[in-house]
Amino acid sequence: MFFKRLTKTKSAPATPAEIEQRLEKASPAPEVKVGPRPLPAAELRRTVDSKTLGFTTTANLDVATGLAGQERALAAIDFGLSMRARDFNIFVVGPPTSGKSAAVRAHLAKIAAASQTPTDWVYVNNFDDPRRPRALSLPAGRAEGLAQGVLAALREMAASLPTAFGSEDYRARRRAIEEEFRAGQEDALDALNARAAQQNIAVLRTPLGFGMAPMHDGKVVRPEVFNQLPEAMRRDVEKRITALQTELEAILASAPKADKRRRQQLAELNEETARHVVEEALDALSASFADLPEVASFLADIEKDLVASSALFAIPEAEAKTVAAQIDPAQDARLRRYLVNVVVSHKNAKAGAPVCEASDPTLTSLAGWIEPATQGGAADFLAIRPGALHRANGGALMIEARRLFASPRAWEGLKRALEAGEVRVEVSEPTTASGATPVPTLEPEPIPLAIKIVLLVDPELLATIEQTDPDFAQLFKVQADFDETLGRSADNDRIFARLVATIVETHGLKPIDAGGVARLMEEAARMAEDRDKLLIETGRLADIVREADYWADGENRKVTSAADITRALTERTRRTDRLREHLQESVARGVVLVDTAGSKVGQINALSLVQKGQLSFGRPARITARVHLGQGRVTDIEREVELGGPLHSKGVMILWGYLAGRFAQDVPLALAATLVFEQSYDTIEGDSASAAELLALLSALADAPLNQEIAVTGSINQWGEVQAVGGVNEKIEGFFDICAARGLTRTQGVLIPEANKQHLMLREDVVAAVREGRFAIYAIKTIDEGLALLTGLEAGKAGADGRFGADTVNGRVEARLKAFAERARSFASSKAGAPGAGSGAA
Amino acid sequence: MIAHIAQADEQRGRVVLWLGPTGETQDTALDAALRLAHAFDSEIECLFIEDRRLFDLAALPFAREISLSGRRSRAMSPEALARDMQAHAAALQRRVLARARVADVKAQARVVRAEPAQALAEVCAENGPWNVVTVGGAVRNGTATGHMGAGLAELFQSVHATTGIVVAGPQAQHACGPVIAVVEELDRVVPMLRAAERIATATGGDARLWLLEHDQARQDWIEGQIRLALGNYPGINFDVLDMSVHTPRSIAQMMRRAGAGFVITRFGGTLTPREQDVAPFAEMLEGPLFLVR
Repeated sequence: MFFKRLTKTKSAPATPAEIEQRLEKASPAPEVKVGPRPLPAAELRRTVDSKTLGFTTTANLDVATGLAGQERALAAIDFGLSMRARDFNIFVVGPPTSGKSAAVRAHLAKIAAASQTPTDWVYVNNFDDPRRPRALSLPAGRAEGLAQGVLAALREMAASLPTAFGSEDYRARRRAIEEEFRAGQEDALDALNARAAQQNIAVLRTPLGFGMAPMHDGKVVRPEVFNQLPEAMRRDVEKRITALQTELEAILASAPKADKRRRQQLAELNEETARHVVEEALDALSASFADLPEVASFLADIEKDLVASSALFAIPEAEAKTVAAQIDPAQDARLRRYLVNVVVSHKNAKAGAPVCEASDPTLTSLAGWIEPATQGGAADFLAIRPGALHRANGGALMIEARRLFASPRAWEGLKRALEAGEVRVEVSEPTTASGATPVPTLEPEPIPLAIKIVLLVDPELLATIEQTDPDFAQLFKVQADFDETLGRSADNDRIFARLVATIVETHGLKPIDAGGVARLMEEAARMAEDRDKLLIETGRLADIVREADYWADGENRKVTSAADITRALTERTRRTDRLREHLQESVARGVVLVDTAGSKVGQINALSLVQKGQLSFGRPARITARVHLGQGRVTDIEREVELGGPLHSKGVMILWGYLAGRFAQDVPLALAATLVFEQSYDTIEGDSASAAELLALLSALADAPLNQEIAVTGSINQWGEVQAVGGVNEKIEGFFDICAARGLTRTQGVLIPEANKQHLMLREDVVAAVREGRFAIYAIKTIDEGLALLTGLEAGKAGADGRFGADTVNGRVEARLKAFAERARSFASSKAGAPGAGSGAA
Repeated sequence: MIAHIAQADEQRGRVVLWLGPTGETQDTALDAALRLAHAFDSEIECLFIEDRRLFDLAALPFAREISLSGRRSRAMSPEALARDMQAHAAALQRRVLARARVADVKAQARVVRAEPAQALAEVCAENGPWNVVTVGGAVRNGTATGHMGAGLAELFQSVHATTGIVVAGPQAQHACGPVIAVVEELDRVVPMLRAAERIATATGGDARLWLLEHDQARQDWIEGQIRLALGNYPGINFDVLDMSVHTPRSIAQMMRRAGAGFVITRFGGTLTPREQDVAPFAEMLEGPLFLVR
């Protein structure tokens, strides 16, 4: 046997398991007289043999989509996408760092690429009601063609219309119309003037019209001269003037009618002049969109309106030459309204359905907005800007729920759109100092919505949403639950390795060798708090891999190795370790009292978990219990001073239930007890200390000292069974660090629930200490096992009569409680016999 | 003929912009006044004349004012008339002074109550002799400027301290482009060309000379004479127009096609022989018409 071992050692290095066995034989665990045996080192950490992974570096691996091990979530997404109903939207649940965004995006893109490309959308002017711009849909890829075509036609018209209106032909005809009108009225006025002059009457132009005055020798007669004329003559002049005034009034009053005729003739001339140019410019475009009735109708509207508004182009020839060269239809008020505002364009008609992501999901970034007019006046349809809902219409839109719900009105706006099945463009966000919403100047026609919203949500927020908004469940009916972990198996190990390869490729990092991946898998198991599972939150894994890549760079390595992964983890701990070190130091210097040697009655080392941001570590805490005669009440001091959370209080109450159920079948619990976390000034939550509290209480009752070298974590139920708790690795390590700082005595250790064995992924130094017999981990199923281990006494089992043996811990508890009960009874009797006692004492 | 206008520092003339009681203005006429002042580095006297005859009319017991639409009439009174005049004068002068500021032309404003011809004569005489009167309103068929209180003939007769009168038809749209000087006598060629060149500096066009010749046989000879006279002006745009085939109307159409910014011609000449011929000719043009003595 010895020879064989040597041979084997020479021919091949021993496996970790073999080393483990050898060390355990060489250095047995601390001897325990009563109670459970310590766990072997092999059970404290599940290592990964890189040779079993089957690759040299991640460069040899195919990348994974990030959806590895998420078959259930994938099936849900596929189902949600294929359901046509608009209320079957998808919510993807997973922690923020699970990498679900990238994974879902990749999956959606794959599906979308094989789907039909949706239609393009444009907004155009509504010539009947400019406040309500029209939305037109066109087959994918044709919107830009329409917009460019219209723009080109307008540019052509901008050049040719002024030329047409500046032509000699047009101006001659216009002049003829003007002349005809003016001549008509002026001839009548000239004739009146002539008749007036024959009668010595002058027709004078006054500030607001005309007046008539008597003349003599070509001059207006002055008032003093006129007044000296004989009355008959004055009356005659007045009469003649009155008659002429009546004539003048008739001539002037006929002007509007003539002017109307003039305007009509001018309008006809303008239309005739413009029609030819407009038709010429739009003919080719109209023909190319003749297959789309709505677009054809829009182009017909343009033509009609341009012809009707042609007078706008009737500018002088000299200016027309300059204007035509400079005109920009987008800026020219006369031409803007004919332009096409492309809000959704799929340039490649075979690109498939769009998959978009709303990175900043405000109301306007989702539903679109109307840009305020920059130079006064009202915004027009060209100011309409599309939102993410427009861009993703016909496909899928991914939204981070936290951002959505952090943005005022965004969720309400999204709900409205989904419920109505259409997207309405919103007015701009409030921009004024007062925060007032601008008055909407436009009401663009809504666009029908055929979209799948994929909401990425973490479990905490999901619980809040589901509780507070009943509409959520109505609109989001498909849950895609992202698993955070992957069960350990050969296949899954390979999947995990491909996931690492994906991270490497995504971030452009150096490949990682198999040893590095194995080390990362061990860390993933530790992060999963389960030796049989691997955490697959790509965000957290990517952080470690990137940091390791950085350290590998520092070592001039071309491949990241296990040493770099370990370095990354160590450095990360060191960066965030200030608080832990501070607390450890407080214990080491005796500021915080934690005994790691000796035995004490009613005192025990519990283990708490401290979590501050990324940092998570275990911390020993002394719990003490005192008992005295009372009326059956345990005072949880943490709860009394409101430092204990509800789960902690629940643990204490369960503890009391256990005590009463086990020891108070025949006698009342005439007991009062106080329990306290010594030197604890923060809130305490969780029930993981309830086992320790019960042990302290039983120790106090039995007057049996507890071994201070062993710390305890675990919760209990009313039957005295010890149940699993979280953070077991950190808790063990927290106590180990204290003991190591004081010097390991080979008799120190931690007592954990049996159910937590599967979660053990302890630090290598702790495992080494256990392997060398300098530290121990014990797993217990019941509180009695813990009692035996910590007191060195038998816990004791109830006999057929329900009594415990007198020399057992439970027997001593039973005797103490009985003594309390008798004392209480005798105290009550003496009180009843005392003067003044009794109901009739008054 | 002298088409000169005194410079501002000469104190011997200016551009007198005549604004009438109706409050009507022709924008091209205002522009013409500014360009002239600019071209000759002169200044503008903005003269609003309250026609005294209107006050005589208003003092008559039966005087009524008929609105331009012909739908309303009201009794006239000197007080109401004065208020209306004042309002018009203030508005017009404010507008002219603002435009002068923009054009960087010196300008001053004045309101007088008199008969227009007499008022213009006095104002021009104050600074004479090189004034030019610009009629602020459009000329009209029949009366030309009569609706403003004085006819052109009367003005040329009574306003001595002026080199000419600028008018614009109702269709006039611009005062920029080529300046066409129309001459009928050889001795006017050089001064007319000089004036045209000066004005052209402010209109952004070139100076052109159009000679009207009635005698077909003289045309070659006169062209040679003019070319001789224009020895100092090489490259000048010069045309002889045969008046045996042209009429004032056809010439006006040619001027419009040429985009004339200013047309300079003699009042009483072939194109505007009588006062009543001025308005029809001016109406054919798209720019102002500078009538010189």
